[in-house]
Amino acid sequence: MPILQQSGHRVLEGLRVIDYTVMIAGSTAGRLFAELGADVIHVEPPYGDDGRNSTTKFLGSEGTIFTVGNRSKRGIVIDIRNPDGRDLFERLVLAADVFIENTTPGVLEKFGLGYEHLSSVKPDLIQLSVSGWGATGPLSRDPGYEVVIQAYSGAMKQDAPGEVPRGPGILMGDSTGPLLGTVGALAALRRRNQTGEGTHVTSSVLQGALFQMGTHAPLAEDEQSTSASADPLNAPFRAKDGAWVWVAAKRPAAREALGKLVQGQTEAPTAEQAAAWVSARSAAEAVRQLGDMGVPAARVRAGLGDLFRDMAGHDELSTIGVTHPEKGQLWTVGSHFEVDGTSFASRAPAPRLGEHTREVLTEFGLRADEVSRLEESGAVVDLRDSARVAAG
Amino acid sequence: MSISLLSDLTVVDLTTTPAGATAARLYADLGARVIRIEATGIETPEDDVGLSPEAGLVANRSKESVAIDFASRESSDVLARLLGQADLLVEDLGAEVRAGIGLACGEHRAAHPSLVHVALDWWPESGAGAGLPRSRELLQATVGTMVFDAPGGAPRPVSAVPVGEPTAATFAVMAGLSALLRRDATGVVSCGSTSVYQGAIQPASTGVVYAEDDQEADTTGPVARRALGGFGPFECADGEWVFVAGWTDRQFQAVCRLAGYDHIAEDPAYGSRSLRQETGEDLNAIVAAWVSGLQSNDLIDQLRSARVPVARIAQTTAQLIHDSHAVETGMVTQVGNGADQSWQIGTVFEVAGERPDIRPAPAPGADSIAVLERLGLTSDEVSDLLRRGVISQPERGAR
Repeated sequence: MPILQQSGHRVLEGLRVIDYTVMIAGSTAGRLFAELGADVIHVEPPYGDDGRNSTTKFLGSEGTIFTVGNRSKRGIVIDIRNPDGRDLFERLVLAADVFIENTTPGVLEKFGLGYEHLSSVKPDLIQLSVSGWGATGPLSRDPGYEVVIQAYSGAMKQDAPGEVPRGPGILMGDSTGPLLGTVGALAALRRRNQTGEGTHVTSSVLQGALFQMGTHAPLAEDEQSTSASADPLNAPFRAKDGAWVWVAAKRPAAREALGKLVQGQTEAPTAEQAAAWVSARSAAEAVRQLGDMGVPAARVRAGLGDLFRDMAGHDELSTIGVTHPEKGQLWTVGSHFEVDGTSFASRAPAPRLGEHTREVLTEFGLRADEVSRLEESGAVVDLRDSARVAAG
Repeated sequence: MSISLLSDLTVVDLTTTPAGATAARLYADLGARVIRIEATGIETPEDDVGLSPEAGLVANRSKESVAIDFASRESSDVLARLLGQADLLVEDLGAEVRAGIGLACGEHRAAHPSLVHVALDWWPESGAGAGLPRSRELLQATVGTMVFDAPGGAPRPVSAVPVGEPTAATFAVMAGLSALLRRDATGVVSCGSTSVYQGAIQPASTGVVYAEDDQEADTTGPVARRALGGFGPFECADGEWVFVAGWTDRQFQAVCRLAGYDHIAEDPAYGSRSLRQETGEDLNAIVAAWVSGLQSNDLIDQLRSARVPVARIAQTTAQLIHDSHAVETGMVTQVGNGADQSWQIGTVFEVAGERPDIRPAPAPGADSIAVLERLGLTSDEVSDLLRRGVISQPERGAR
């Protein structure tokens, strides 16, 4: 039943995962399982994952959040609010090895699909839940978004008293919560292989954000805000072509080398002298000459898309390509780690809405007439019908 | 009770950076016995990305510590004894040092045929950044995570969080667990590798797609973001800032109704996010006026009742020491006793509702004698190693 073209080691080959996630925090965990070789089936409601519906100029009705988070998976549509859909969903989860979800705690219980029930029927099930605020605690049942959790966790800063606080400019918990959950789930999988026992692993966007914030020191109430480098020779300088070059002449040897390059003597130059030197050449030329002299420097890329453009096709640690059914070759995040030098990333695009509904349900043992009946009742949607549903 | 998923594993931690040490700590959080080697006599780069004593309090907790002087000839024997009884080695020494002490991947496989080895470097061996020194600024410049406050303005590094390092720690654990799963299933023993560079890409990668024929893709510079109505930071009457996230149509409508603007809630002109972006600043001026008349506690209560995502904007993470949710859940916790006590980030995951067993970071070498005796060395052998300075252990109570 090889559906997706995959490369690299597939340590999770043969493992079946039901992924009931939306947006970022859960879908990343499912993607990691898929790229380790598991058959990950992403279940969407009839109106689609909200990440899919965050439209973008290039991909139109397929938001890039969805494109990135759900590559390497298969996709089906089940409406769990429909009684037949709910029963079908339970059937799929109970036939899987791992169930990944990022609903607010308590939501699945309302449908009779909580871990307590599922594990009573299938004790070796591993469930990974990635919520916003955590599985327990006073805020656990509140809706949680990355920005709100950045605010709560101290990641937003004011440049000065009275100024509008702003975020750090990078995703924190949405990105890291699912990674921590995946770490726990992989460990749980290893234990299940040894003992036959399943378990429930929980993590959250908040735990991901705090993991990011609190790794480098204990929490101190008199904590001072960190600020950007104040070293004038560890700073950005603008090149002739308008691009920025970060010169990291922190060490004495690098300062001497910079002095030689800029003014022909080993005395460290002033920031103004360094700026004048960089501004007289292109960024590429400046980086090359600085590197030749042993001065650490790099062009400041304007964003990750800039890196992907530069690395597309020749560095899988940075970016790998998938073939989109309408847009052709797309480049998204590369391999996160390697085993014996081989990456785990696969090359299947994110599924279209309901792309694999019939295929998956047939594999799970449903007859064609049963699938048709479910389609008629609105419990499931296949790709052929999804355009009609979306339009409706 | 605590998490014991990996209680059958012994991990040797030969790391010198926050990312590496944090990776090893995650194994401890999952129940593994983690023996940290405090290595002297190894040349590590003179830079500012090494593990500081402060960072060590967080990254080295729940471990045991053995201090080994790698300048001594016998150090390799001690290391070999440790690795001989370990399942997994985590290190971040870099290719040169790694090779210098005989730990190049695969090189020690004959001696330790079942040992999984995970290396976490700053840059990968090839590709962007390869050959550059370890530097947080060069990492961000290379990956493209620096912030441009205004089009045409100078870039500045993201400074509120360590970009790439925590994420790379999780990747190192995934690499190790993948290799262990593979070893368990097939008997094949592997080397895993990752880098802080790869860790830096991940948090920025959500929603980033590059296509050669995407004529509208902006890879040349920053773009000013448009405000979304009902979504942003707002200042309350008590001077506190609160983030209101009226992201979905329902949440936006709830904000409008609470603010007394039912007609806006019902107006199809604001019926989607893209429409609310077109008028974002005007809508947010209305929300700001409403919020400015409320105490922050009152605002938060109202929005929570209406199921609109909301949070007070904390000035620092340390403020969570006084937050009931953060403390009750163990996400922020006290570690240690007496003068050594500190508040730290706590549990990062739970298993069957159980949290990790969090113990204070040991003093460097605090467990040298006990660990080596457990490996089968006699008291005389351990004393001899101590006398010759191959290993060391501080006086009890020293840190």
